[in-house]
Amino acid sequence: MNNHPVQVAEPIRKLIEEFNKLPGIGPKSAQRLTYYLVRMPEEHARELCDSIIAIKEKLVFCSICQNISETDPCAICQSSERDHTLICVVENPLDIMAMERIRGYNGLYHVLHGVISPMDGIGPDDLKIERLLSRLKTEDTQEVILATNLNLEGEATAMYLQKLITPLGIRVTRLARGLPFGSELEYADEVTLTRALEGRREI
Amino acid sequence: MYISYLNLTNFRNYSLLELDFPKQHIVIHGENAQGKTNLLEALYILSTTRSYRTGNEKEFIKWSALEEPDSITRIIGNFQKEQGDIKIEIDMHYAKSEITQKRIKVNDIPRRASEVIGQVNMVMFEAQDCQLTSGPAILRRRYLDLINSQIDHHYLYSLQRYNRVLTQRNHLLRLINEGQARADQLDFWDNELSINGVYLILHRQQMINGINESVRTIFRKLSQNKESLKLKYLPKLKYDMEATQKENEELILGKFHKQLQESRGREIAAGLTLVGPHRDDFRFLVNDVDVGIYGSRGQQRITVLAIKLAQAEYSKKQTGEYPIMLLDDILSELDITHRRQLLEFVTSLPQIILTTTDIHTIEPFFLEQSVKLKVIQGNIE
Ligand SMILES: [Zn+2]
Repeated sequence: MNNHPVQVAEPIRKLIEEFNKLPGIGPKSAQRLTYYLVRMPEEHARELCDSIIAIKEKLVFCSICQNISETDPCAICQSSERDHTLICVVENPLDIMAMERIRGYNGLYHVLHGVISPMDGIGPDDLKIERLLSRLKTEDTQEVILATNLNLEGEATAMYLQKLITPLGIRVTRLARGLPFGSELEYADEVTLTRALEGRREI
Repeated sequence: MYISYLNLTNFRNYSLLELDFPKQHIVIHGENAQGKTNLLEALYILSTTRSYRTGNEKEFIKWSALEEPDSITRIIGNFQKEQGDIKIEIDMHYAKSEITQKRIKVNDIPRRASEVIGQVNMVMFEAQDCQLTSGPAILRRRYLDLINSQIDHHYLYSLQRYNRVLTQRNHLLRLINEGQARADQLDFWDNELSINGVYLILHRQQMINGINESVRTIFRKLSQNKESLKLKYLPKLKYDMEATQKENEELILGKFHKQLQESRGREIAAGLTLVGPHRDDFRFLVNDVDVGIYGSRGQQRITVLAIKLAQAEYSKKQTGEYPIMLLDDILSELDITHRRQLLEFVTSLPQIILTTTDIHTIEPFFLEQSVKLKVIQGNIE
């Protein structure tokens, strides 16, 4: 962005630069967002600002499921309404949002924070797998649902976990039916996801 | 299959071009560097979403439009197929001379590149293609893969998956070599490599058998001395080509696993996957002699010509429809006899689009069935 004309005010130039660093936001969108904010009422701008600060100051990782939460343990892990014998393993916190949207799932979660991908230098030790295994040894888990994405890396991760969990005598299932190959949980629509959950298969 | 409409915006040397085509062959003629090949390239991109001339898509942007504020390069084509009409549109947005977004639409609905391949099939023949016989094996693998991807969507899926597995596996081999990963982590990738690899091997063999069915007759017609041309597949994994497909599937899968086991140590040391169809080759044999090594330039050219014609036949057999044939300045490379034979051969196909600097090199019987477009500096007369 260094070739912006000099007459652009410094705070504007700076904000455009910041937006441009975000994923999925190119130079044009960054400009559009910035000029939109310039025209925004001050109180709205403050609310937005506070929300950004709040996610940094008020959020922690749940020490049980590794989800991002306001409390530790998180509300889901603490809830007595939920089925504590069921753990759904997902790649990232956004996948939990997708699963919660469908309301058909009442168990617990475990967030891996990534998937096995040698080309990105990510191996099993870089994921929250040890934490999952220690949970399975101490909690009363009956079934683990592997809900990593249906692409190669998601499958590699699911396969790796299945080999570790099956010897513990716990049922291991995989979301499958209805979800197209290569699809990502985060973008799956609710009907498809519900069907995939109901049609989960033992692996 | 026919093209009925083409629209170019800021593509190569075309600012704006709109053309309606009748159901006829098309002869594009004009001096050098006026934009004849650019038209064929645009058609080819509609078929495969990529160019055969360059991997650098920046080159598509019209040079004088680079600085324009409304920055888009666009190719639109309408095609008539037996199952109905189809419209393909490729938009490339750019800013500061770089392409920022490439969007592909089929009948106005956004699609991924892999969903477009196979919709509108074309056979391209240009001077560079002669390297197919004598050049490196990767050219021949790419050729095999393109034909198979156009007629079999599962082939494209397996190929993309195979290539991704290969990248991941090679990285993992390097990590193991450096002591940063364990060898048992290879199991998943080995399995995926072999399952997808077997599909590629069997369908490459099937395609080569299919091409061989028609290439012999075609080549006999083109080579007056009644020579015989045959494609020979050289898979990295050897197997019995006479066995049934089902038998072979299990056989190759077993061999694949065995060889991966045997070469694991060498693969870890090399940090590279050494077994699999990414190392396949196929050769062109004329009277059982490799034309890529021992043939003359002229013989190699006729060989590739025969292969491309056989490709059109194979594509028709597999998809039910003839592809559009694109011939880029090929006639000038052929002698009068072969030129005539080629035109006689292709005239019965639904649509041939060819370029030439000299319209007089084209036989009158072919010109009579063709629309003639003269290209002058990015405009059509
Ligand atoms: Zn939790």
